[in-house]
Amino acid sequence: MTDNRLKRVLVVDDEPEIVDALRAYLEREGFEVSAAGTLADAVDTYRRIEPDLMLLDITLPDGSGLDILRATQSEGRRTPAIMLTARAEEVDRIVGLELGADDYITKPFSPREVVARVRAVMRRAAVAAGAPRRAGNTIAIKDLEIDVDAHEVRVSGRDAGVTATEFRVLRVLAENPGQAFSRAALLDALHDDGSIFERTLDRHINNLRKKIEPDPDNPEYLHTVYGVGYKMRARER
Amino acid sequence: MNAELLRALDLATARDWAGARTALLRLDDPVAGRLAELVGVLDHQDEARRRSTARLRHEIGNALAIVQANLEGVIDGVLEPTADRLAGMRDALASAGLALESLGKP
Repeated sequence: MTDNRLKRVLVVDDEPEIVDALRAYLEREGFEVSAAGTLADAVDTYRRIEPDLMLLDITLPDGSGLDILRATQSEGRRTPAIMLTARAEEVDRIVGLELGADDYITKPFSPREVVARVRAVMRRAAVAAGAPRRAGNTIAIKDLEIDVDAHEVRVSGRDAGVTATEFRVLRVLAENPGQAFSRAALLDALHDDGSIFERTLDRHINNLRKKIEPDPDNPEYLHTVYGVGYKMRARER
Repeated sequence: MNAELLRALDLATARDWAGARTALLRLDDPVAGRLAELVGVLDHQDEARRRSTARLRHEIGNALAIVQANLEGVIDGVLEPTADRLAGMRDALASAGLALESLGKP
Protein backbone atom coordinates (compact mmCIF):
# COMPACT_ATOMS: atom_id res chain seq x y z
CA MET A 1 0.00 0.00 0.00
CA THR A 2 1.57 3.29 -1.03
CA ASP A 3 0.69 6.57 0.57
CA ASN A 4 0.61 8.72 -2.54
CA ARG A 5 -2.61 7.31 -3.94
CA LEU A 6 -6.10 8.27 -2.84
CA LYS A 7 -7.44 6.34 0.11
CA ARG A 8 -10.09 3.90 -1.06
CA VAL A 9 -13.32 3.39 0.79
CA LEU A 10 -15.72 0.55 0.01
CA VAL A 11 -19.30 1.47 0.90
CA VAL A 12 -21.68 -1.49 1.18
CA ASP A 13 -25.37 -0.68 1.60
CA ASP A 14 -28.42 -1.85 -0.32
CA GLU A 15 -30.04 1.60 -0.22
CA PRO A 16 -28.69 3.53 -3.25
CA GLU A 17 -29.79 6.84 -1.74
CA ILE A 18 -27.62 6.23 1.32
CA VAL A 19 -24.68 5.18 -0.85
CA ASP A 20 -25.08 8.33 -3.00
CA ALA A 21 -24.97 10.66 -0.02
CA LEU A 22 -22.00 8.89 1.59
CA ARG A 23 -20.17 8.84 -1.73
CA ALA A 24 -20.68 12.58 -2.24
CA TYR A 25 -19.32 13.42 1.21
CA LEU A 26 -16.38 11.02 1.04
CA GLU A 27 -15.38 12.15 -2.46
CA ARG A 28 -15.50 15.76 -1.38
CA GLU A 29 -13.05 14.82 1.36
CA GLY A 30 -10.68 13.30 -1.19
CA PHE A 31 -11.50 9.62 -0.83
CA GLU A 32 -11.92 7.28 -3.77
CA VAL A 33 -15.25 5.52 -3.30
CA SER A 34 -16.50 2.17 -4.59
CA ALA A 35 -19.92 0.87 -3.70
CA ALA A 36 -21.74 -2.46 -3.54
CA GLY A 37 -25.32 -3.31 -2.70
CA THR A 38 -25.06 -7.02 -2.03
CA LEU A 39 -22.78 -9.36 -0.13
CA ALA A 40 -21.60 -11.09 -3.31
CA ASP A 41 -20.85 -7.82 -5.07
CA ALA A 42 -19.08 -6.50 -1.97
CA VAL A 43 -16.70 -9.47 -1.72
CA ASP A 44 -15.91 -9.17 -5.46
CA THR A 45 -15.30 -5.45 -5.24
CA TYR A 46 -13.19 -5.93 -2.12
CA ARG A 47 -10.84 -8.28 -3.93
CA ARG A 48 -10.61 -5.99 -6.93
CA ILE A 49 -9.93 -2.65 -5.27
CA GLU A 50 -8.33 -3.67 -1.95
CA PRO A 51 -9.91 -0.83 0.00
CA ASP A 52 -8.24 1.00 2.86
CA LEU A 53 -11.49 1.03 4.81
CA MET A 54 -14.96 -0.47 4.56
CA LEU A 55 -18.31 1.00 5.58
CA LEU A 56 -20.57 -2.03 5.94
CA ASP A 57 -24.31 -2.13 6.39
CA ILE A 58 -25.16 -5.21 8.42
CA THR A 59 -28.48 -6.13 6.83
CA LEU A 60 -27.98 -6.95 3.14
CA PRO A 61 -30.38 -8.75 0.78
CA ASP A 62 -28.15 -11.82 0.47
CA GLY A 63 -26.45 -11.91 3.82
CA SER A 64 -24.82 -9.81 6.47
CA GLY A 65 -22.09 -7.17 6.46
CA LEU A 66 -20.51 -9.28 9.17
CA ASP A 67 -20.03 -12.03 6.57
CA ILE A 68 -17.90 -9.61 4.56
CA LEU A 69 -15.69 -9.03 7.61
CA ARG A 70 -15.35 -12.77 8.08
CA ALA A 71 -14.60 -13.38 4.40
CA THR A 72 -11.93 -10.69 4.21
CA GLN A 73 -10.33 -11.72 7.47
CA SER A 74 -10.13 -15.32 6.35
CA GLU A 75 -8.10 -14.03 3.40
CA GLY A 76 -5.59 -12.80 5.91
CA ARG A 77 -6.07 -9.06 5.56
CA ARG A 78 -7.29 -6.84 8.34
CA THR A 79 -9.02 -3.94 6.64
CA PRO A 80 -10.41 -1.32 9.00
CA ALA A 81 -14.20 -1.50 9.01
CA ILE A 82 -17.03 0.64 10.33
CA MET A 83 -20.40 -1.08 10.61
CA LEU A 84 -23.69 0.66 9.82
CA THR A 85 -26.83 -0.61 11.48
CA ALA A 86 -30.37 0.45 12.23
CA ARG A 87 -30.75 -2.26 14.83
CA ALA A 88 -29.43 -1.73 18.33
CA GLU A 89 -29.47 -5.44 19.09
CA GLU A 90 -26.92 -5.97 16.33
CA VAL A 91 -24.45 -3.76 18.13
CA ASP A 92 -23.87 -6.51 20.67
CA ARG A 93 -22.97 -8.87 17.88
CA ILE A 94 -20.57 -6.39 16.34
CA VAL A 95 -18.55 -5.86 19.48
CA GLY A 96 -19.28 -9.19 21.12
CA LEU A 97 -18.22 -11.59 18.42
CA GLU A 98 -14.63 -10.37 18.29
CA LEU A 99 -15.05 -9.71 14.61
CA GLY A 100 -12.64 -6.85 14.63
CA ALA A 101 -14.89 -4.06 13.40
CA ASP A 102 -13.26 -0.81 14.44
CA ASP A 103 -16.37 1.22 15.05
CA TYR A 104 -20.09 1.24 14.41
CA ILE A 105 -22.65 3.89 13.53
CA THR A 106 -26.38 3.56 14.03
CA LYS A 107 -28.91 4.74 11.47
CA PRO A 108 -30.06 7.39 10.99
CA PHE A 109 -26.71 9.15 10.96
CA SER A 110 -25.16 12.40 9.91
CA PRO A 111 -22.90 11.86 6.88
CA ARG A 112 -20.50 14.45 8.33
CA GLU A 113 -20.20 12.27 11.42
CA VAL A 114 -19.49 9.27 9.19
CA VAL A 115 -16.65 11.13 7.48
CA ALA A 116 -15.21 12.08 10.88
CA ARG A 117 -15.30 8.45 12.01
CA VAL A 118 -13.72 7.29 8.76
CA ARG A 119 -10.86 9.74 9.30
CA ALA A 120 -10.43 8.68 12.93
CA VAL A 121 -10.31 4.96 12.10
CA MET A 122 -7.89 5.57 9.22
CA ARG A 123 -5.66 7.66 11.45
CA ARG A 124 -5.49 4.86 14.00
CA ALA A 125 -4.76 2.31 11.30
CA ALA A 126 -1.99 4.52 9.86
CA VAL A 127 -0.39 4.94 13.28
CA ALA A 128 -0.51 1.18 13.72
CA ALA A 129 0.97 0.44 10.31
CA GLY A 130 3.47 3.25 9.98
CA ALA A 131 5.02 3.36 13.46
CA PRO A 132 8.81 3.64 13.19
CA ARG A 133 10.46 0.28 13.59
CA ARG A 134 12.72 0.26 16.58
CA ALA A 135 14.27 -2.95 17.75
CA GLY A 136 13.08 -4.38 21.03
CA ASN A 137 9.98 -2.24 21.37
CA THR A 138 8.15 -4.97 23.22
CA ILE A 139 6.50 -4.91 26.60
CA ALA A 140 6.89 -8.25 28.36
CA ILE A 141 4.93 -9.27 31.44
CA LYS A 142 5.30 -12.90 32.46
CA ASP A 143 4.20 -14.94 29.39
CA LEU A 144 2.55 -11.92 27.77
CA GLU A 145 4.40 -9.94 25.08
CA ILE A 146 3.04 -6.77 23.56
CA ASP A 147 5.03 -6.11 20.41
CA VAL A 148 4.46 -2.43 19.80
CA ASP A 149 6.32 -2.47 16.47
CA ALA A 150 4.47 -5.42 14.99
CA HIS A 151 1.20 -4.37 16.70
CA GLU A 152 0.90 -7.90 17.91
CA VAL A 153 0.17 -9.53 21.24
CA ARG A 154 1.68 -12.91 22.01
CA VAL A 155 0.99 -15.29 24.85
CA SER A 156 3.82 -17.78 25.34
CA GLY A 157 4.99 -16.89 21.84
CA ARG A 158 1.62 -17.51 20.20
CA ASP A 159 -0.25 -14.65 18.44
CA ALA A 160 -3.37 -13.84 20.48
CA GLY A 161 -5.14 -12.22 17.50
CA VAL A 162 -6.28 -9.03 19.22
CA THR A 163 -8.16 -6.31 17.33
CA ALA A 164 -6.75 -2.81 16.85
CA THR A 165 -8.88 -1.43 19.66
CA GLU A 166 -8.03 -4.25 22.04
CA PHE A 167 -4.36 -3.66 21.33
CA ARG A 168 -4.62 0.00 22.29
CA VAL A 169 -6.39 -0.78 25.55
CA LEU A 170 -3.90 -3.46 26.48
CA ARG A 171 -0.93 -1.30 25.57
CA VAL A 172 -1.97 1.57 27.85
CA LEU A 173 -2.51 -0.80 30.77
CA ALA A 174 0.71 -2.73 30.11
CA GLU A 175 2.79 0.44 29.89
CA ASN A 176 1.67 1.19 33.43
CA PRO A 177 1.74 -2.18 35.20
CA GLY A 178 0.24 -2.19 38.66
CA GLN A 179 -1.49 1.15 38.13
CA ALA A 180 -5.28 1.13 38.45
CA PHE A 181 -7.16 3.04 35.74
CA SER A 182 -10.74 4.22 36.08
CA ARG A 183 -12.69 3.78 32.87
CA ALA A 184 -12.57 7.54 32.30
CA ALA A 185 -8.82 7.69 32.93
CA LEU A 186 -8.29 4.80 30.55
CA LEU A 187 -10.29 6.56 27.85
CA ASP A 188 -8.27 9.74 28.43
CA ALA A 189 -5.03 7.80 28.11
CA LEU A 190 -6.29 6.32 24.85
CA HIS A 191 -7.03 9.79 23.46
CA ASP A 192 -10.16 8.28 22.05
CA ASP A 193 -12.19 10.73 20.03
CA GLY A 194 -15.60 9.05 20.02
CA SER A 195 -18.19 8.19 22.65
CA ILE A 196 -18.33 4.75 21.05
CA PHE A 197 -15.49 3.54 23.09
CA GLU A 198 -16.88 4.21 26.53
CA ARG A 199 -19.92 2.06 25.88
CA THR A 200 -17.88 -0.93 24.87
CA LEU A 201 -14.81 -0.71 27.10
CA ASP A 202 -15.90 -3.50 29.46
CA ARG A 203 -16.57 -5.76 26.52
CA HIS A 204 -13.14 -5.09 25.05
CA ILE A 205 -11.61 -6.05 28.39
CA ASN A 206 -13.66 -9.26 28.45
CA ASN A 207 -12.60 -10.09 24.91
CA LEU A 208 -8.97 -9.43 25.80
CA ARG A 209 -9.24 -11.74 28.78
CA LYS A 210 -10.58 -14.50 26.57
CA LYS A 211 -7.61 -14.05 24.26
CA ILE A 212 -4.73 -13.62 26.70
CA GLU A 213 -5.74 -15.18 30.01
CA PRO A 214 -5.13 -18.87 30.73
CA ASP A 215 -8.35 -18.70 32.79
CA PRO A 216 -10.49 -15.67 31.80
CA ASP A 217 -12.61 -15.98 34.96
CA ASN A 218 -9.50 -15.75 37.13
CA PRO A 219 -7.42 -13.17 35.32
CA GLU A 220 -3.72 -13.28 35.81
CA TYR A 221 -2.95 -10.12 33.82
CA LEU A 222 -6.00 -7.89 33.49
CA HIS A 223 -7.31 -7.37 37.00
CA THR A 224 -10.56 -5.70 37.90
CA VAL A 225 -10.08 -3.13 40.64
CA TYR A 226 -13.46 -3.04 42.30
CA GLY A 227 -15.03 0.38 42.44
CA VAL A 228 -12.29 1.80 40.23
CA GLY A 229 -11.67 0.03 36.93
CA TYR A 230 -8.81 -2.07 35.65
CA LYS A 231 -5.09 -2.62 36.05
CA MET A 232 -2.34 -4.76 34.58
CA ARG A 233 -0.51 -7.01 37.06
CA ALA A 234 2.72 -5.52 38.34
CA ARG A 235 5.94 -6.71 36.73
CA GLU A 236 7.89 -9.35 38.60
CA ARG A 237 11.14 -8.16 40.08
CA MET B 1 -42.98 -27.49 45.87
CA ASN B 2 -44.10 -23.95 46.66
CA ALA B 3 -40.58 -22.58 46.90
CA GLU B 4 -39.65 -24.23 43.59
CA LEU B 5 -42.84 -23.01 41.94
CA LEU B 6 -42.14 -19.47 43.09
CA ARG B 7 -38.60 -19.68 41.79
CA ALA B 8 -39.87 -20.86 38.40
CA LEU B 9 -42.35 -17.98 38.27
CA ASP B 10 -39.58 -15.54 39.17
CA LEU B 11 -37.63 -16.83 36.18
CA ALA B 12 -40.69 -16.24 33.98
CA THR B 13 -41.08 -12.71 35.34
CA ALA B 14 -37.43 -12.11 34.44
CA ARG B 15 -38.34 -13.40 30.95
CA ASP B 16 -36.01 -16.37 31.22
CA TRP B 17 -38.62 -18.45 29.41
CA ALA B 18 -36.49 -21.53 28.83
CA GLY B 19 -35.35 -21.58 32.46
CA ALA B 20 -38.91 -21.13 33.73
CA ARG B 21 -40.27 -23.92 31.52
CA THR B 22 -37.56 -26.35 32.56
CA ALA B 23 -38.13 -25.56 36.24
CA LEU B 24 -41.91 -25.95 35.90
CA LEU B 25 -41.72 -29.24 34.00
CA ARG B 26 -39.30 -30.60 36.59
CA LEU B 27 -42.05 -30.19 39.24
CA ASP B 28 -44.09 -32.92 37.55
CA ASP B 29 -47.37 -31.37 38.68
CA PRO B 30 -50.50 -30.68 36.56
CA VAL B 31 -50.74 -27.01 37.58
CA ALA B 32 -47.04 -26.50 36.96
CA GLY B 33 -47.48 -28.26 33.62
CA ARG B 34 -50.20 -25.80 32.56
CA LEU B 35 -48.03 -22.92 33.71
CA ALA B 36 -45.23 -24.31 31.55
CA GLU B 37 -47.58 -24.18 28.55
CA LEU B 38 -48.49 -20.61 29.41
CA VAL B 39 -44.79 -19.76 29.63
CA GLY B 40 -44.39 -21.29 26.16
CA VAL B 41 -47.08 -18.98 24.77
CA LEU B 42 -45.45 -15.96 26.36
CA ASP B 43 -42.09 -17.02 24.97
CA HIS B 44 -43.58 -17.11 21.46
CA GLN B 45 -45.19 -13.72 21.84
CA ASP B 46 -41.99 -12.24 23.21
CA GLU B 47 -40.02 -13.59 20.26
CA ALA B 48 -42.59 -12.30 17.75
CA ARG B 49 -42.53 -8.86 19.35
CA ARG B 50 -38.73 -8.80 19.29
CA ARG B 51 -38.68 -9.72 15.63
CA SER B 52 -41.27 -7.16 14.66
CA THR B 53 -39.46 -4.44 16.62
CA ALA B 54 -36.23 -5.36 14.85
CA ARG B 55 -37.93 -5.18 11.45
CA LEU B 56 -39.52 -1.80 12.23
CA ARG B 57 -36.25 -0.44 13.53
CA HIS B 58 -34.57 -1.53 10.33
CA GLU B 59 -37.22 -0.03 8.06
CA ILE B 60 -37.67 3.23 9.91
CA GLY B 61 -33.94 3.60 10.60
CA ASN B 62 -33.11 3.15 6.92
CA ALA B 63 -35.82 5.55 5.79
CA LEU B 64 -34.68 8.24 8.22
CA ALA B 65 -31.06 7.62 7.22
CA ILE B 66 -31.96 8.32 3.58
CA VAL B 67 -33.77 11.54 4.47
CA GLN B 68 -31.17 12.80 6.92
CA ALA B 69 -28.15 12.00 4.74
CA ASN B 70 -29.69 13.54 1.62
CA LEU B 71 -31.10 16.64 3.33
CA GLU B 72 -27.81 17.28 5.06
CA GLY B 73 -26.06 16.82 1.73
CA VAL B 74 -28.28 19.42 0.06
CA ILE B 75 -27.86 21.86 2.98
CA ASP B 76 -24.08 21.39 2.94
CA GLY B 77 -24.01 21.92 -0.83
CA VAL B 78 -22.61 18.42 -1.40
CA LEU B 79 -25.71 17.14 -3.21
CA GLU B 80 -27.99 18.79 -5.76
CA PRO B 81 -31.66 19.10 -4.77
CA THR B 82 -32.84 17.35 -7.95
CA ALA B 83 -36.44 16.21 -8.39
CA ASP B 84 -35.21 12.60 -8.20
CA ARG B 85 -33.49 13.17 -4.92
CA LEU B 86 -36.51 14.90 -3.41
CA ALA B 87 -38.76 12.09 -4.65
CA GLY B 88 -36.40 9.55 -3.03
CA MET B 89 -36.72 11.34 0.29
CA ARG B 90 -40.49 11.48 -0.03
CA ASP B 91 -40.62 7.73 -0.80
CA ALA B 92 -38.40 7.01 2.20
CA LEU B 93 -40.73 8.97 4.48
CA ALA B 94 -43.74 7.19 2.97
CA SER B 95 -42.19 3.79 3.72
CA ALA B 96 -41.44 4.90 7.29
CA GLY B 97 -45.11 5.88 7.51
CA LEU B 98 -46.18 2.43 6.30
CA ALA B 99 -43.94 0.79 8.87
CA LEU B 100 -45.55 2.88 11.59
CA GLU B 101 -49.00 1.99 10.30
CA SER B 102 -48.19 -1.70 10.64
CA LEU B 103 -48.04 -1.10 14.38
CA GLY B 104 -51.82 -0.75 14.31
CA LYS B 105 -54.15 2.06 15.30
CA PRO B 106 -53.33 4.06 18.42
